[in-house]
Amino acid sequence: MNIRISIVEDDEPTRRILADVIRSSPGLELLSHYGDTPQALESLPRDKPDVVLMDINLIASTGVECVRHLKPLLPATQFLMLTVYEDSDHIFAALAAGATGYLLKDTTREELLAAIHQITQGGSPMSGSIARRVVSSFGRVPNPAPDTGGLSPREQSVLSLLTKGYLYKEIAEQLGISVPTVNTYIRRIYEKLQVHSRSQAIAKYLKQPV
Amino acid sequence: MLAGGLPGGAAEPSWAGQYSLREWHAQDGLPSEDVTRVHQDRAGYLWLVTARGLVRFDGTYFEDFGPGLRQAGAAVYIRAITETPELGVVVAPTSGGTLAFRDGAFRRLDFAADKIVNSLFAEADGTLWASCDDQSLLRWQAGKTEEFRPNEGSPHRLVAHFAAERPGRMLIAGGTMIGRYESGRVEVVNAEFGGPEFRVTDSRKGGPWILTIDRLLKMGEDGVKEMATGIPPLVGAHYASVLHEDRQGTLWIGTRSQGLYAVVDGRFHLVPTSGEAITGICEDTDGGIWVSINGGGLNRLRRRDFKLYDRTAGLGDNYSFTVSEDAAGVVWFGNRDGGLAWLRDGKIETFTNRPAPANGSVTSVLPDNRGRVWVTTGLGVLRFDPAGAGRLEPVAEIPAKPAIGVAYVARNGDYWVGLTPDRVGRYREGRFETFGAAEGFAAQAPRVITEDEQGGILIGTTDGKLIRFDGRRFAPIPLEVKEGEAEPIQDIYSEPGTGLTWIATAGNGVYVLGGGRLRHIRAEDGLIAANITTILPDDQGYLWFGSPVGIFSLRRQELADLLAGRGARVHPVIVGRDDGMHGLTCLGLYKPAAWKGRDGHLWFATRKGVVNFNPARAITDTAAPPAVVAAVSCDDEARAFSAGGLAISARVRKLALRLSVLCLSTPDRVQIKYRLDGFDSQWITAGPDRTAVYPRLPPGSYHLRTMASLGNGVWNESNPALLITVQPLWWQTLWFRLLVACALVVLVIVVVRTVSHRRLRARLERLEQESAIERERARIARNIHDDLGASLTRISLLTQMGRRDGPSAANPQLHQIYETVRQITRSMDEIVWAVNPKNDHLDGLASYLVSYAQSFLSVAGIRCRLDLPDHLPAVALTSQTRHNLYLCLKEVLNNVVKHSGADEVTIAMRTEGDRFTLLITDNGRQPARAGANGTNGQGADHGLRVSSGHGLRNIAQRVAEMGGTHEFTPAGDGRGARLAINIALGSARAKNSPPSGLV
Repeated sequence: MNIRISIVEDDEPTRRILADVIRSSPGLELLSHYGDTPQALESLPRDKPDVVLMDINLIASTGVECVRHLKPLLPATQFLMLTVYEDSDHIFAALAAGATGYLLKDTTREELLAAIHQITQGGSPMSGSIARRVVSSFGRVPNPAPDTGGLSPREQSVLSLLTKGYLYKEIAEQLGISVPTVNTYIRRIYEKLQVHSRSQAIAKYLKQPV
Repeated sequence: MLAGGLPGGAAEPSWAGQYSLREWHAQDGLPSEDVTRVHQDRAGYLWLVTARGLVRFDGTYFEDFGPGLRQAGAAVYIRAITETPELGVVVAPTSGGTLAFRDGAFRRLDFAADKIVNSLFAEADGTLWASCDDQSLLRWQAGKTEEFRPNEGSPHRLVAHFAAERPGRMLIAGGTMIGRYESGRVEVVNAEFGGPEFRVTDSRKGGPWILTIDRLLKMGEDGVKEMATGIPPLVGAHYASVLHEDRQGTLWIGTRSQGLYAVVDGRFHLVPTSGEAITGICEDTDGGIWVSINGGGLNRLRRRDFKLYDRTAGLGDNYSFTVSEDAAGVVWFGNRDGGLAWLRDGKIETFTNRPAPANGSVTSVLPDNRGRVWVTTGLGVLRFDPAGAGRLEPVAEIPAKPAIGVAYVARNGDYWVGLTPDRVGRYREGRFETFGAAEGFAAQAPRVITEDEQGGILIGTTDGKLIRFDGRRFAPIPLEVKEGEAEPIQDIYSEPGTGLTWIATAGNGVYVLGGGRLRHIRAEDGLIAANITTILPDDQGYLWFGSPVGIFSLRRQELADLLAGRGARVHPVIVGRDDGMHGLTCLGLYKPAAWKGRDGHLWFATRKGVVNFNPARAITDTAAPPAVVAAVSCDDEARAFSAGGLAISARVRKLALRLSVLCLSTPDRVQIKYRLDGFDSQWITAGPDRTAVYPRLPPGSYHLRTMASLGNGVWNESNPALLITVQPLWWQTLWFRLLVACALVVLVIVVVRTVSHRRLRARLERLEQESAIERERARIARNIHDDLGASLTRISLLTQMGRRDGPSAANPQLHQIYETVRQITRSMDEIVWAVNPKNDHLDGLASYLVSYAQSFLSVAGIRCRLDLPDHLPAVALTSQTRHNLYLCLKEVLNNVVKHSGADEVTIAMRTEGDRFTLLITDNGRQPARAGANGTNGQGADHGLRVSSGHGLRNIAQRVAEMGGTHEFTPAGDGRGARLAINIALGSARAKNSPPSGLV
């Protein structure tokens, strides 16, 4: 079964190139592509793609906002953020909003395709600096309850190694687990981050101390 | 008594010589030269009626009572003045009626209230008499007035003179009428005394004096007695304006045109005064006769305490050079042009055999202890031996040349004489020898020779040297006078008992030598002159000094206090005007010029003559009357005050208090000291104006204390002191000051608020500015990101388009394009990161560095380990610092990859207080040697070191730009190297912290 993909990208030439790349790749199916957010917000819930390639900096509203709206509506869809720069603030915001991966736009075609496949197979990229953000985000809650996104000890040790600069392979070696398991942990961390950041936002909205 | 003297007619002026005359005129403060009445009140003040009003005199100051009279609604011109115990001083102004002065103010009496009074008289019992312009005669007793008109129909104005015959019986002389009052009636009794005009006055014994045109009578118990004959012309009743009998029984008659006469033992003596129109006479409590004169001011006659031996006393010349008394009590005078004279049995006799016919003034007369007198003249030395021939005999052994000056006869009989210009001679037992520089006397001619207690001869010289001869040799005694300031020594007094030697100089005051010390009393210390010619002790504890400006005395005790440092200055008593002596000039060329007689009286040779007086009488031992505040002025405006105190405003800039000491007899000797407690720290000696002047006084209470002395060292302090209250001005009051304090606080608050508000505004403006810059930076970053970034993305994506078949089929040119674009994108990424203000904090920096290191090292296949604190402080950093740190890291990582051979790099960050440390450690080769701050050696080929040293130098430069330090060391475990970069966050902080100081 093909991986169905939607693209949200405001730069028309880029969108076309990306679409061409997807179309010309076996096992991938281009479901739709949108140049502006309102249209994407309206149509994507119906499209129900497997993966959304989403530009972080959309003109009307940021890709992060877009993800925040769409993720609850499309829980099964993986959002892969595309960014020109490795801007950890934006990337982290997107991850917290529900994205499960990110990709620099100047990647090679191979890297792009690999990332799409990886994300559908449960893989999630996380760099050391993002990991630090995650740690500090969770660290703000003193005794996180599991249902509000508290991290398990295993997840915490994965995260800790990430912040120390370990690669997935090294983490797997270090913890005596497989790389896909590391990926699973990371994916779970992402999901919990999402829940956690949402509860944080609600708490902030209710003006209650977190 | 003195002989010879004043010219005069029938009078004997010699009688008047026992009186000294002192005059007061307009220049002394008298309001007018026309003084018409004089009266001493019971308090001792002298009241003077002048043509310009009524004044009161304390001996020094004439106080105008015009304002007091005007206040009482009366004219200031007075016709008559008297005093009763009950009413006080009573005056009759020309405007009519009578007023009494009591407790500092005049008030009207109901006596003669509607009449113009011509004369007043008060009986001892207080009964008051007045004669009026309307010819009535009034008697006032116990508030009841009787009126008589004995003079009715007379063409003469009634100006009556009164005299009490006995209590209840009066003689009233009114021009051509004389009447007697007794038992409520006035009876004209002209027939008793003969006509046609009469003057009367009281007498202490033997009934009133009655003066007619040509006779002086006295009304005795047993009838009228003729007291004198031969009344001088124009002195009889019609011409006599006033009669007064003093306590000696002397009748004083003041005439309208003939001056003042005294009648003693039936003889008339003319007494010289400063004018002829005598209008009033009164005797003060000290026996001084005060005379008011129309056109002549105020005179006072006082019995002389001084005798003056001058030409009128029988000497040939007023000026005597030298005076002394011999063992027989004969006083010898060396007279300038009158030769040698003596005073024997009260008579002056001049030697007829004048010893020096030419140029032979007597310069010294000296008795020796064998009864002889040595007479030194310009032509030789003579000796008088009363036990011998009784005449002057030359001492032949003493040559007249060189010129002979001062002389001295020592106790051992040696005769010493100073020789001009620079020798001293001694005559002993028929031998005369002289001493000069060769003999040890190295000085100019002696000005004084005397002897100390040990018998040493003391010589003071013209060139200011003091030389002592102990019998064998001359020894100078240093006086520590500065070069060129030496003054001739004019007298030396070797004080018995104290060992002190007093040295009088011609310009340096007095030196006091003794007790191993030399002390100096200068003119400023209270000597009246710096030129002192003679020093003479008396038997009353005073030292007397002669000077060109007069003779004065100082209490020995006061001098001792001054020498001991206990007194600030001495207070001389000057023999002068108070004593009827003016301008007593003592010259210091000849010795002895002053002498203490065997009777204790002192003799001083002066230009006016030789003065002889009893020092015990010259100085009274009585205390002075208290010094009282007589007048107050504030800023030169007279100010009323009472004894209870004086209240002035703090606005007063100059407070002047005139002090008064009532002393009519010797006002010139009065000394006043004052002290304002609360202001002055010590007593201040009042100047001649006797006024204490104070500048603006701070609010508060003060007491003015005063003390007075008659120059005898007895100080009488006034009690109580005058309370002076300085009332604060409204702005000096407490409530006002509190108000000011509050206002100040408010002001400070307002200022602080304004300033801080301005600061805040400035800060906001700056933040606004910074924020504008940030917005601009963000815009640039976004533009680069959106526009350039998008284009580059397209290019890099486009290069991937033709690669469906995998990397193996890659077109190498396309790949090159892709790599180039990718590098450009990375550079853009760096620029955007550096420019974007949202990264201006430590956490942003850490994230970026970590991301960069991870991706860079993973490409190189080097493990990257991170050691970062979970939380980095939220510190702002400038973009420059961020960029510098990033470039450092980049440089280091490049070096690691290229040169170290390491397979792992650890990036650690630490914050400690204000410091931030970035540590980059690798496990490659070690550096050649440790270096710090870029001083590591070049050319080492392993470790973390840079290939040419440029890398580390660049790092050093960047670190220096950030104001930090760096250290490049081997890593701890034997492998690898470590670079530590340490910066202060404060200095690298973005400038949005609050500024310091005022804006």
